[in-house]
Amino acid sequence: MRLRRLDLIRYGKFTDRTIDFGPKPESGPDLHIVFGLNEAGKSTALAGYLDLLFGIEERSRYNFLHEYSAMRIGGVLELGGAEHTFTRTKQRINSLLNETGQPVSEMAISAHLAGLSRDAYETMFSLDDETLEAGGKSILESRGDLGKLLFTASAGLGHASDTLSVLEAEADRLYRKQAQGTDLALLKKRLAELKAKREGIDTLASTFETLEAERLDATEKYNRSIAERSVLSARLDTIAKYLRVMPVVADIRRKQAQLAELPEIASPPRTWTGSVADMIEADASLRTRLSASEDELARVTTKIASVDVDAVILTISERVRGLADRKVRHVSAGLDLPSRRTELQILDNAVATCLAALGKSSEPNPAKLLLPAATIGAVRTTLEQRSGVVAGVRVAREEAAAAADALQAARERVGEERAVPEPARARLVSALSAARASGHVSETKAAREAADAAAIRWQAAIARLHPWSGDAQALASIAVPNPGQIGAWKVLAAELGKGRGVLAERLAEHQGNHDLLAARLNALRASVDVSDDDVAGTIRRARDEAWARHRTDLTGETADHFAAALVRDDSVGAGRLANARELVEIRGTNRNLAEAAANIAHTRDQLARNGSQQEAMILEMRSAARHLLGRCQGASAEQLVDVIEDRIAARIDALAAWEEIELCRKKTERAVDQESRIRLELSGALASVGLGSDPENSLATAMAVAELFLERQFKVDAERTEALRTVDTRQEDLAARRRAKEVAEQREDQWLAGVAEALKGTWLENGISASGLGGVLDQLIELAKCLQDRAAMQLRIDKMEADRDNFLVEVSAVAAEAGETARDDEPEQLAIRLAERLEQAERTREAKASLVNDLRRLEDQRGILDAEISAHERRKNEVLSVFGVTTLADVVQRDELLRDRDRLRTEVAQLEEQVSSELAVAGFEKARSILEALDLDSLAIEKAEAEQRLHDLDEALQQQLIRQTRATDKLDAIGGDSAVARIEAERGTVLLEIEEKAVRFIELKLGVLSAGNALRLYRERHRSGMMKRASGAFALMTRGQYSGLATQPVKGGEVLIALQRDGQSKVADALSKGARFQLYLALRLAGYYEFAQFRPSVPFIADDIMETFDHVRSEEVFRLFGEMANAGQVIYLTHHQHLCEIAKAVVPGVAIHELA
Amino acid sequence: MSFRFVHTADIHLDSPLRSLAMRNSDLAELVGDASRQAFVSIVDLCLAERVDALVIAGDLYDGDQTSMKTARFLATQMMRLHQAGIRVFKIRGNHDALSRISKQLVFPDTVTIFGGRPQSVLQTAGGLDVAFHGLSFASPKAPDSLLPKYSNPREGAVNVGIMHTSLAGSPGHDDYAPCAVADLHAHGFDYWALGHIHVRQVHPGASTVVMPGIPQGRDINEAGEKSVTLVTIRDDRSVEIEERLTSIAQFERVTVDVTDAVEWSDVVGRVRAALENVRASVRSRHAVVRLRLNGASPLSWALIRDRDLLLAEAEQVAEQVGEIWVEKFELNVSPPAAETSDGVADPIFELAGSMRADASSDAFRAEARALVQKMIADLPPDGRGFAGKDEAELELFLDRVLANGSDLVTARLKAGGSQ
Repeated sequence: MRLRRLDLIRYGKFTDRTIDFGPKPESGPDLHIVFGLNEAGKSTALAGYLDLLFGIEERSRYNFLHEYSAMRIGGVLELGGAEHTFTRTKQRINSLLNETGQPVSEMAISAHLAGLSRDAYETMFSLDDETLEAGGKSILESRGDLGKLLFTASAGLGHASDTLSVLEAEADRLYRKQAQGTDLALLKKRLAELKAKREGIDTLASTFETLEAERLDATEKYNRSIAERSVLSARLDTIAKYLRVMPVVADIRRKQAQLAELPEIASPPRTWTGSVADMIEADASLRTRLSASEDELARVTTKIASVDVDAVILTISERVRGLADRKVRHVSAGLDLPSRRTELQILDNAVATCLAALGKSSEPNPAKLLLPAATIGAVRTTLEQRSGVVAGVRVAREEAAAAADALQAARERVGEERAVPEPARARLVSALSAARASGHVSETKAAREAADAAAIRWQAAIARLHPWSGDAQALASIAVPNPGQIGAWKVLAAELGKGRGVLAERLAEHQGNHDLLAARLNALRASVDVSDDDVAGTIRRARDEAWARHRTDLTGETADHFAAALVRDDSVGAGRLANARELVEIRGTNRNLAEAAANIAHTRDQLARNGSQQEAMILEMRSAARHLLGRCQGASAEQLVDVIEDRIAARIDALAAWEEIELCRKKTERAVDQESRIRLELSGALASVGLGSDPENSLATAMAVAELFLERQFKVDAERTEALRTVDTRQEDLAARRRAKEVAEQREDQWLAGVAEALKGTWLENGISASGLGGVLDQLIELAKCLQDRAAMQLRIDKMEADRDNFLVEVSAVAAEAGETARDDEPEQLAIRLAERLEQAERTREAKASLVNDLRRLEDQRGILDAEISAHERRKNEVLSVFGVTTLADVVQRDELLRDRDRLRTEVAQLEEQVSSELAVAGFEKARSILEALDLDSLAIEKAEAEQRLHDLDEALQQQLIRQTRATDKLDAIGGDSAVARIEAERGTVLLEIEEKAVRFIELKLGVLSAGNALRLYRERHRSGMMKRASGAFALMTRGQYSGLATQPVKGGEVLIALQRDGQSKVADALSKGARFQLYLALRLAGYYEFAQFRPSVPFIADDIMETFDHVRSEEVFRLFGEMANAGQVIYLTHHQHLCEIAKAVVPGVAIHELA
Repeated sequence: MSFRFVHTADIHLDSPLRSLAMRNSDLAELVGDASRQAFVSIVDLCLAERVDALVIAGDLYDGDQTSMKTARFLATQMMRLHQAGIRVFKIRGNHDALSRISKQLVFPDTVTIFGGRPQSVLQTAGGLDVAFHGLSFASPKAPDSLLPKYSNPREGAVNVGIMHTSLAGSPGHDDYAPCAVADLHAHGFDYWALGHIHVRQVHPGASTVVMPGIPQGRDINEAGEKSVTLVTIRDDRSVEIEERLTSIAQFERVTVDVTDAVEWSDVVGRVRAALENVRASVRSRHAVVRLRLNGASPLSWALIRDRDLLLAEAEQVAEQVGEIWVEKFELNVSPPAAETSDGVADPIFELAGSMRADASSDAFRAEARALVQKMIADLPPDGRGFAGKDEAELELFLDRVLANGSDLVTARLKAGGSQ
């Protein structure tokens, strides 16, 4: 397959870009260089090529300009000798189209690619820096293993050896016999851990059996011990009972003995209440009370008889008591009266003062002066309004005066006159607007700027004409060559230059060839120790001469001489015979050398002819353009043409600049004229409004003065209008104030009339002023109050005097009736004596009544006491008769004896009951018979024994309980949880992992082993085909430093060795880095041939692999690619211009395509 | 009125799940006791449906099961049934014939464990007399049919036979109480409650013959839904059966077609779709899947090389889908046809061809065999079974590992050292 043309229709940065590789050359290498600077799109083009062959990648990066749907690549491929046009779009199916745009099968291309995938194509038939680097490395890693090297090179892989060792390492990580850290070793350890863990928590069925038996045994023994203990415990209880009742029985016996000593009489029935002791006490008490009662009765009766009562005073008791009241009033009136009379005098004085204030001192009846309440109220109300009315009148008058002042001031301001007449102002306005509308300022400025720019251009152009100098007229008048003439010179100069380049190149080539041949001759001569024809001829001649001399002389000396010459000649002859092939080569080389020398001489002649033609042309040009050139020295014809063209252009520029300067000057003059006209008009207008202008001032200043003046005039106008408006306002204000004053005065008059109306008909009707009215009203009120107080005081004094008189009359009357002697000077003492006599009489009467009551009560008590005594005697006699004794003391003694006997009987009965119930038998007699049958000593022994036995049993029980509990606990602890099941599950998983990793290990191990075998087979198959090519290419690339490659068997295989020129050899991995690259390239070349040997070739693409190569190495690589290009198309992508040159030198037939 | 019972068998209590998916500790936590969970769900079913009896037709646990924890657990569940008044009829199969743990257990009197001699027990409930006929394996071997030992049907009662049998058996497997289905139908019983075969089978005919299958699958070879059978016997002695799901975790093989997949993400996407499908269709709480990739794809070499990476991605996807777990990948992928046909110039394929040829050479196989045997000898006894039981299986194993080994090398060469 061959790439004829690649169309980057819409792909990456490209749109409709084509690289045409042209038809395959008739002969020579099919080598192409695609040259483009960085970012020109070389890698894109390479990707495009692969996409054309294999389809656009699913996630192509080349959609940044054209979307996926629009992407399109095309090309012409030579397949099996025929040309086919294809187009590729980006879609999953039917992406490959033929020249008519119809989808075609992928087989149309892939059938010619020997089933290679995109990846395989990329690795096998493209080469870049990285692959090269990896290739060099793979040689190191292969340790020279021939199979690996051949495989690596033909597959284009850099990592084959690496891959196998990685797999081996992976297998080792999984498993190594006896190793501890491998995955499998760790898993085995985990398995052991799980087993231990399970054993730690699990209970097996057998253990369970043992535990269960233990539990049952312990339970049974425990139950037996419990039964025994119960029996023993019961017996001990019985013994304890017997021992407990023994002392009780003894007590019963003692008490029965006591009973036998007490009388057997019956206890008398108890028919009375209370104790005998109470009865004895009551007897004594009754006797004492009877004698006390008789004494008291006698004493009260005597006392009643001795009391006497005053009956006279008691009959008038009410009137005596009434006197006390009257006496109090009499005394207090006597004390009060003097002060009351003084107060009355004060009130009389106050009335007199009021009358004086009212100017009516002579008035006999002051009450007549008082005014009715309604009148006073009306006058008061009117008086309160007075202050408001008076203030209103005052304010209105003041405001009216102020308004009159303001009006006067406003009128004065209007009177001022400051404006300028209108016509003069109108003239100034028009002059100013004309000045503003004029454009002369900007015109002047633009013209001056343009003139400056043109002057600079003029200077620049003149500088380019250096050394010529002069003014514009001089420049316009000098003669210059015409364009036709210059064109002719240019063509001629280019032809001459091109011819010279070709010749120089040819010369270099011949020279290089000559050098190469000379070097090869030297090398040939150095490599074989053989004399060339000249030397051989010389030696032969020496031999012939020696023979001739010997024939002539026939001496021993000549014979020796001849023999030596003969030997040398023979040895030379033999050497030449042995190296006949080299000799032929040396001869051939000599011939070629001579040819090369002749070529060099011929080319040099041609170069000399070319030089003289150029000289002639230069002379012609110099004469035609002498003014422009001056003393200027051009080196070559092309340069001289360039100088002339440049000078002519400079002259044209200079003349154009001069014209521009002239034009600007005229424009400036026009603008200055216009300015002076405007200024004259403006000065006139300013003068007409009374502003003289200084002729020295600029127009701008005059315009500013005019503008300032006009602005001030506008302000003056505005102020006058404002003042007129103020006068109007003030006049209106004054009128309003005057009206307000009149209204206030009217209100004052109305108020006065109101007051007069209110006072009509009173003594105040005439002759009182408005301001005095308030005081009169206040005095009248005061007078009314004084009169009222004086009347009240007079009334009180009268009443007091009446009370004093009444008391004296009543005292005299009562005293007469009671028979008391009355004395006039002391009525109060008399009243007191009467009261004391009444009190004494009442106290005596009450004492007598109380004594009569006491006597009656004593008589009642005496009756009760008699009844009590008779009841007591009756009871006493009853008790004495029951006990049959005469005194109460005897009764007491007898009663105690009988009570003791009854208590003892009860106690005995209770004890007997206690014994029989303790022994649980019916009746005390039965109990006694049991107890009497017991032997106390043996009981004590039995009790001690039983207690010891009980103690032993308790200990045994405790032990059995512990055993039982322990076994039960262990059984209970088993639990039904899933812990063991889960451990088993994990164990199963670990086993599965072990299997998985073991299988993986086996696969890896066998894979690596099998790959080793396969590589050996590969070596055998391809050794013969590849070794020869690789060897030749290696020698070529190393320029003979290595004479070739060979193989050498080693243990377990065969290694590649490089043969050095000096006969030594090196294993491939011992080569220098540079040599390793070369070896890798040589092997790739061999691989390419190996591929192309049995199949149609495919293009080989190299992408700037010589980044780090020096000039010499680059040449070697191109030489190699030149070789490869004989077998198939080789495309080299680069951004180095110098590589193109090298390629052209090494492979003359190379085609260079520029990717701009 | 009707008599109802649940029929199960082959519970293999506390026998663990065997799956590499259990490497995930979350899953191990959830289903580490799956057989127990399944058994609890059977008891729950009995209680919820208020059945009259539970029939266990053998292999309640494995013979090597000696942990009393298992027994304790079983006792607890039996007590639940006892308290609900549900009777249990159980026979022993080949696995639990000699179980030590059952000897130690004392069951409530509602539990009937049939012994090595045929026995019939009558239960009256739901207006029906039901006679349960049972016979346990006395030893792990039972080369002859047990059917002749079963008594004749009891007159007037519904007759249920409980038997552990491999039926007609299958080639390569030992026979356990072999017996023809036709003979069972002919025996005159109304229902045959069988056990032993882990796949559910219903054999219609004169009698209702049911093999309920294991209630919880334990590895990928016991894939699919697992269940028990709920049996209802009506007044007219008609028998009605329902299948009830019991598996907590369900094993499934899932095939994903990767034909023409170009991008890695494409493959992951297809795996995701497949996992989502499975999750949607599996009724059990957890789905444990073995993924098999099929088809020709340019990615095939990358898939072979980065199988571990793919597994990690699939596990991540599974976690997102939820309650689905990937146990491993099987790859059955190949490059597109054009790349592998004869005459391909790619030296890697030439190498691969040589390796394939090598795999069938006697000398190399002998070397490989020695390597495998030496390796296996260094593994714990429980982990030695993967290479097969006999010579023939070992050769098959060799074929497989040699092919995989050479694919692995080819994939590494083809797809580079790393991606």
